[in-house]
Amino acid sequence: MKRPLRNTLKVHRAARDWTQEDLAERVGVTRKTINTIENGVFTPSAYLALKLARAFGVAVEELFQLEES
Amino acid sequence: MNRPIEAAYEKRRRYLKYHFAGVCAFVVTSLTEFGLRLSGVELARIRVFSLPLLILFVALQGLCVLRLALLHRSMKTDSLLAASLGDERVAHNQLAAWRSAFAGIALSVLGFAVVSTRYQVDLVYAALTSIVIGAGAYTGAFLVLER
Repeated sequence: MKRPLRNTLKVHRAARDWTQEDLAERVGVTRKTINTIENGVFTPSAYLALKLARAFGVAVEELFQLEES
Repeated sequence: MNRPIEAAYEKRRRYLKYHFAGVCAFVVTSLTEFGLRLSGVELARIRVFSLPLLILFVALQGLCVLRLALLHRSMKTDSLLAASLGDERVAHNQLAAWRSAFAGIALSVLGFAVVSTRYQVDLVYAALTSIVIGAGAYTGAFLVLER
């Protein structure tokens, strides 16, 4: 089942001048995982979404939003 | 690429690629030998060529498995590396790769079952080949998902 999910990871990353590798190290995943999340290929679990939000210091809703159907 | 996580990730990919190449080469050589035997060529004559190749390809697979085991061992002492290389996307892909392994074994067994209706098929040979095909299907599927 396709679960359309928009994300603003790239925007938040760019604002902090972090590379995908920087973010990956902060949340304990591979760079590839960050890349696939940013491109909407992989949908992270609630746990990982919360870790990403914590890394940026924002609410999880600021990072991930449901696509309007 | 000087970061330890990315370096280990690339190292794992490289070993998996060599392992997959070894499995493919082994299966092709083994099935060619099997086909030649079925067509009536004497086994001793085939083995002159196939045996050194089979040993070489098994050695390649063994070396890759050993290097992967050493990599996993080093992950045990580094919890961040272990968590990163086994993150949820990787775990998801590993699960999908297991499904491919099962499909590979099932198709191989089915193939040997069909062949056995006309020719004599050694059960041990069919079982071992199916297991190697399953291992190859797992590695191949994982590499495709991780590309």
